[in-house]
Amino acid sequence: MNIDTIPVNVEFRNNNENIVFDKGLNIHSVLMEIQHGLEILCKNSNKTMIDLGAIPLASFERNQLFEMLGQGEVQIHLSSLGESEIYETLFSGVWVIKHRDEQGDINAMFIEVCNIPEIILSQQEDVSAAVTGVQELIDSLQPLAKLEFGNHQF
Amino acid sequence: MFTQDSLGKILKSHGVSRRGFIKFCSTLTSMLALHPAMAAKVAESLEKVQRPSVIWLHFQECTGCSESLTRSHAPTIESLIFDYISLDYHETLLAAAGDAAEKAMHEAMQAHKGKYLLVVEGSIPLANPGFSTVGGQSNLDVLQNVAKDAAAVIAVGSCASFGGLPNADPNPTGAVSVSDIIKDKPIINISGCPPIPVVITGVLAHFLTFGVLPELDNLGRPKTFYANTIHDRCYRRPFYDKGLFAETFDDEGAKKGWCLYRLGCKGPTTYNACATVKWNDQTSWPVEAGHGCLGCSEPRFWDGGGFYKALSLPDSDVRKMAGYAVATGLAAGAIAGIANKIKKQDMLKQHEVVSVDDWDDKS
Ligand code: SF4
Ligand code: SF4
Repeated sequence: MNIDTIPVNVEFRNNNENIVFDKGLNIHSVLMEIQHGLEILCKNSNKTMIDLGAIPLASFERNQLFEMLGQGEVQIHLSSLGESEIYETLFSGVWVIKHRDEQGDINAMFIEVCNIPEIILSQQEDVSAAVTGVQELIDSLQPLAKLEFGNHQF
Repeated sequence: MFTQDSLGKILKSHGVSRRGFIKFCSTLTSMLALHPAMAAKVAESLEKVQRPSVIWLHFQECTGCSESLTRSHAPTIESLIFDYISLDYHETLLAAAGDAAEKAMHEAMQAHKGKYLLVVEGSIPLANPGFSTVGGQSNLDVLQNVAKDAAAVIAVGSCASFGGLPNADPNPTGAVSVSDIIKDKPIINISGCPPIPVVITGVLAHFLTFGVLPELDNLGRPKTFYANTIHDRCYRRPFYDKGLFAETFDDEGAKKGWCLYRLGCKGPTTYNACATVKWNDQTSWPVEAGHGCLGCSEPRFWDGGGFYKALSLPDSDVRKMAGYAVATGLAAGAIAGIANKIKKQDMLKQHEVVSVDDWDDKS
C-alpha cells in the first residue's frame, strides 16, 4: 500500500483545484515573514533567512507554500556534498534553497530574501585556489616549438 | 585512531570546496536549531576544531536508539559520526570483539583522559548486578569506571535519561537512570523512545562546533531541541485553538486533519522537537501521520495511564475554566496547565500494574 492511497484529505483546495488559503493557518505566518523580509531588503538591502525546518509546517503545507511562490527566471544547480536546488521564486528577491545530501535526501530548506544568495557567490578561498590552478594549467602547456601542425614543423 | 586534523582540513582533503563547506555549515546550523545567520560562526569554529573521542556504552535497553541513529540519513550523519568524531568504542558497531574491543576502549580512555565523551544507552539495574553485564562486569561498575575520566556523559534515550521502559511499574530490575548514579559530571539527557536521530547528532555536533555542551532544561535536556512542547510547534495547533477536534481515528475531523487532543495526544505536556525536525528524513512525524503524541520524551511516560486517554479536559471545560480564571485572577492557560498536571498525576496513581500472572489469567 502506498501512502498516497490513504484517503486523508489534508490539502486546502477548492473545486477548481485552486489552493484555498486560510488566514489562520501556518502558511500565513511564513508569507508575513517573507513580506517583512522584502520590506527590509527594499529599505536597507539587508537579507532575511528563514529556516523552514524550524517552523511548524506539515510537509503538504510546505509543498503548498512552494507552489504558491512559484518559480521565476533563475534556477541554479549546485553540486557540492550532494546536489542543491536554488531558484528565485515568482517574487523577485525571494529565493528557495533546498540542500540535498549525497543520498539525494533533502536535509535543509531555506527561504532567503536577498538580491543573491550568498552560497552562489564565488568564495575568496576557492578563488585563491583557482589562481594556482589556472597557473598550473598555463605551466602544463607545451612549448610552441615542439608542436607539429600537419606537415609544418615549427 | 586519533587525528589532530581540524574538521576544515579533513573536508578540504576530501576535495570539498569552500562553497561546499558553507553548505555543510548551513545544514548543520539548521540541524542545531540555530538562526541561519549563525552559519558563518559555525563555519569559523568548525575550521579549527579537532575530533573528540567518543565511547558509547550499552546497558539495559533494546538498541533502538542506536538503530534510530544509524538508520537515518540525517545531514552527513555517516560522515559526522564516522569521520568527524572518533567513535572509539561502540559495542554494536565495533568490528573488534572480546579483548580487542576492551583494549580499544581502555586505549581511548588513556589517550583522552578527561576529554572523551561518554554516551550511554539504556538504564542501569540496581536490584541485582547480574541482571545486565558486559564481559562479566555489571553495568553499574562499567558506568562508574568509564564516567570517571569523561569530560561529560550523554544519556541517549528515555531509558538512560529517566529509566524508561525497564523502570516502568513495577520496575522488576530496579532500573535507574545515569543521573541517579553519576553526580560529579555534566550529564545531558537526550530523551525519547527513541530520540530523534538529528537530536543525537545535533548534541554531538554542538560539542564538536563550540567545544562546550549546550544549555539544558530542568530535566537536563538540551534546550535547543526540548524548549518547546510538541503542542507549541504542532501544525494542527490552529485547529486546537479553534476547538476543532477529531473524536475517532476515522471521523470527518480526522480526515480533515483536525487536532488529536481528544484521542489522547500528549503533545501539550511533552517537550521534544518532532513537530519541526520530524522523522524519516523529514518525511513526517506521528501527529502528521494521524496519531497523537505518546509523550515518549517525558519521565515515566509508560505509566501515564493510557495512550488514548485525553490528557486534559475537553474544550468545553476549557471554556468553563476561563470563567474560573476570571474569578481567581489566574490566566486560563495556567488553570488548564494545573488541570493537566493533576490529571497526569491521577493517571499515574490509577495505573494498573499487570503482572505476567494476570496476563496468563486473562488469556
Ligand atoms: S494534535 Fe496534539 S500536539 Fe497537535 S495541536 Fe492537537 S493536542 Fe496539540
Ligand atoms: S510525537 Fe511524541 S511520542 Fe512521538 S516520537 Fe515525538 S515525542 Fe515521542
